[in-house]
Amino acid sequence: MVAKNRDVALIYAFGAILLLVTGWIYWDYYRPEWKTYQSGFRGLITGRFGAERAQQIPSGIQQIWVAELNRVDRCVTCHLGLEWEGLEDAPNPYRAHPPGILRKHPLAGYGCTICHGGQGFATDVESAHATGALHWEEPLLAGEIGRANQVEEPKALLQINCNICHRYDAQTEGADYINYAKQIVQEKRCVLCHKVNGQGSLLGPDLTYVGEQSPEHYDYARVPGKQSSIGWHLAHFHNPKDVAPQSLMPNFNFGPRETQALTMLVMSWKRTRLPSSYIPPPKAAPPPPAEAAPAER
Amino acid sequence: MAAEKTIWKKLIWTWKPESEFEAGDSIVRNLLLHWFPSKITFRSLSYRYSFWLGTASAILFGILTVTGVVLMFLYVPSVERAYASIKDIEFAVAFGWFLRGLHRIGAHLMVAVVFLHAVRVFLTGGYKNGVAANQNRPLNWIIGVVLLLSTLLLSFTGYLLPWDQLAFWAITVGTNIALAAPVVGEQTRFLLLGGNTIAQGALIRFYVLHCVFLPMLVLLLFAWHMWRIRKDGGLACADQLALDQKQEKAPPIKSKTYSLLGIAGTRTVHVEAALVDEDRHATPASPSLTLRLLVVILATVLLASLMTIVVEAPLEEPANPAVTSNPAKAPWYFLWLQELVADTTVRVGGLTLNGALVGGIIVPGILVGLLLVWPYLDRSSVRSAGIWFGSDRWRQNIVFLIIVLAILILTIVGTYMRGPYWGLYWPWETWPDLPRKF
Repeated sequence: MVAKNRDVALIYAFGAILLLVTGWIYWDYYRPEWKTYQSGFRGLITGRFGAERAQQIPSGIQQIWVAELNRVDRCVTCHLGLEWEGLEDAPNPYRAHPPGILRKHPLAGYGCTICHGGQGFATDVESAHATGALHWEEPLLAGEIGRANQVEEPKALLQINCNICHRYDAQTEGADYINYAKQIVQEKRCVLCHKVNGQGSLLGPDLTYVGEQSPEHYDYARVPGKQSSIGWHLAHFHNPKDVAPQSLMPNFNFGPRETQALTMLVMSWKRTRLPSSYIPPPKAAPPPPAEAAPAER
Repeated sequence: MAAEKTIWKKLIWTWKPESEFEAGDSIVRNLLLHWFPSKITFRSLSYRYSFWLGTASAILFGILTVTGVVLMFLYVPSVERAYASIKDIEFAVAFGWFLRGLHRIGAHLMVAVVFLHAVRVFLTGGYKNGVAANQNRPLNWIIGVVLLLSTLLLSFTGYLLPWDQLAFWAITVGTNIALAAPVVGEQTRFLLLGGNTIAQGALIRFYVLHCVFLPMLVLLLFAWHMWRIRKDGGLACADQLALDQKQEKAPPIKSKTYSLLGIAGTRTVHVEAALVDEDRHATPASPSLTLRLLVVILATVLLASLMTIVVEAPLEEPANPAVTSNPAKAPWYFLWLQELVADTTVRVGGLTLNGALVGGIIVPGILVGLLLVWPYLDRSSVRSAGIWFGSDRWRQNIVFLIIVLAILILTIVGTYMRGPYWGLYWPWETWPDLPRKF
């Protein structure tokens, strides 16, 4: 009888704790981080444009599904003001996107992460920006990553992703760092030692897809600071023999701007599966750089 | 006042059988409970004898079935969509993280609990026949060993499904161990993977094995396992009561006939069981067994739920055959094998002794073989059946415990002490940060 009473007491106790656990799970479900941002946006719109406009704001998880790129970007769950006029000066995450670039790269056709990096699947800030996430290789290319790797112009890192589609452009509007790097590649005649896109010499490594090399491929024994592919390239362009004493590559005495630009360029050289409609048509003039081999198309 | 009492009674829904017949009838008439005995010994009910590990593993299988069926509506078993569908479950599906987490924790717990259940049965000599006629506990032990192996396979096949780096490389390690088997190794791996590489063929095979074939097998074996327990007169500890009674020279009790299916075609189906003085040692299963069962169900669900909340379910980068994860590890329950493989790979000059054969095939093969035949080799007395650390089984119990301890130590070393490049790190040493892209 004692055992029976003890069992009944245990059933009530475990049942009560299970109820509490269920309650916590529901509470967690109804209070996600993005709801705070959505209500903040509603407040902002009510303040600036009135309650009627605020009613037009969608609620719940929002996403851009780009079938051609096989990408889903849920960034717009919090970044609700990307296409709103009059929010150019709003604080993030509500600020409107510069409209010029959106005209050529509409949100519906490109989404966000193809350019900005980050984890489009995610619905919380930490996972979405992925700057500290252990298991996402493409973090949001912005200030935080730039500062961690001590680059000269952190915000310019975004241009790495411009060059995924614009690899064969001689010059890309708005991608000044990438353009500068392409200019250096021509001036310094890198193809005298390196093969890129099937052209050039094999005195140095083939660089055609150097951007997709695993971070563990590099030797960090002589690289100061954080161990990362970008850190290795930055140190290597600064002075190749500092990083690899056996290297045949001469020291070009590149400054921080050149180092960052060239690092960004080589990190953009990756194998990508893009629909042909996403690759800009070749321009007649000026002539493409040596790396732009037609065979690569 | 009377009306209030009635409402209160209705609310708390109590039911008290007025006779033992009514109590037994409630078990036999109930679809969910009919496979229980109508009376059960106090010893079988106790936590200290069985720790209710077998029941807990069945409950975990239930949790896995329910969560698994819901996950089947959400998961897409294709190389292109599998990873993305898991990400969707994690981030966009209502309660998806909990569903996936509970399924994952439930699977890990089930492996652990089924293993502990087997350890318990061995240490108590639960596989030994007692005094009742027509017992065949050794057969039930063999069914149990197959259930343990099926549980491992169920968990292993589920491991690949997220199609992330963790999954891909764990299955690579696991199937490469199979490759080391002599003569049939290559064919086994080919059959398992549906090819020579881990690709769509492997994913769909693992998916069907995981969702259809293995659960059906476990369900059938589970039914057989339970049926045999009833046929064998319940847990082995009940036999000790009968033996005690014989020693006590108590006045003979009425021979009992247990009716399993009631009267069918004017003939009674008999199940002979240990003849225990039920008035002294047993209690009606309703409500004693049903209450205890509810305690174990709630405790198991609660433990699994709390662990799901506390332990985050990892999802690494999408599977990439070109980049080996560092270190590449098999699932934790096979890490003792991977550790054995690593430790038995010996290079002498230009010669390499293949560790996968010794650690991955021979050692586990011998262990499973021994497990299967052990009840027939165990010649200890009937007094050691259903009793913890039976006195004339001490040698085999010690050897068994040493093997269990070795497996646990190797598992712990493999899980917590093998860091990048399979380097050995003490628990107080931090693993070096692996380089990242940015």
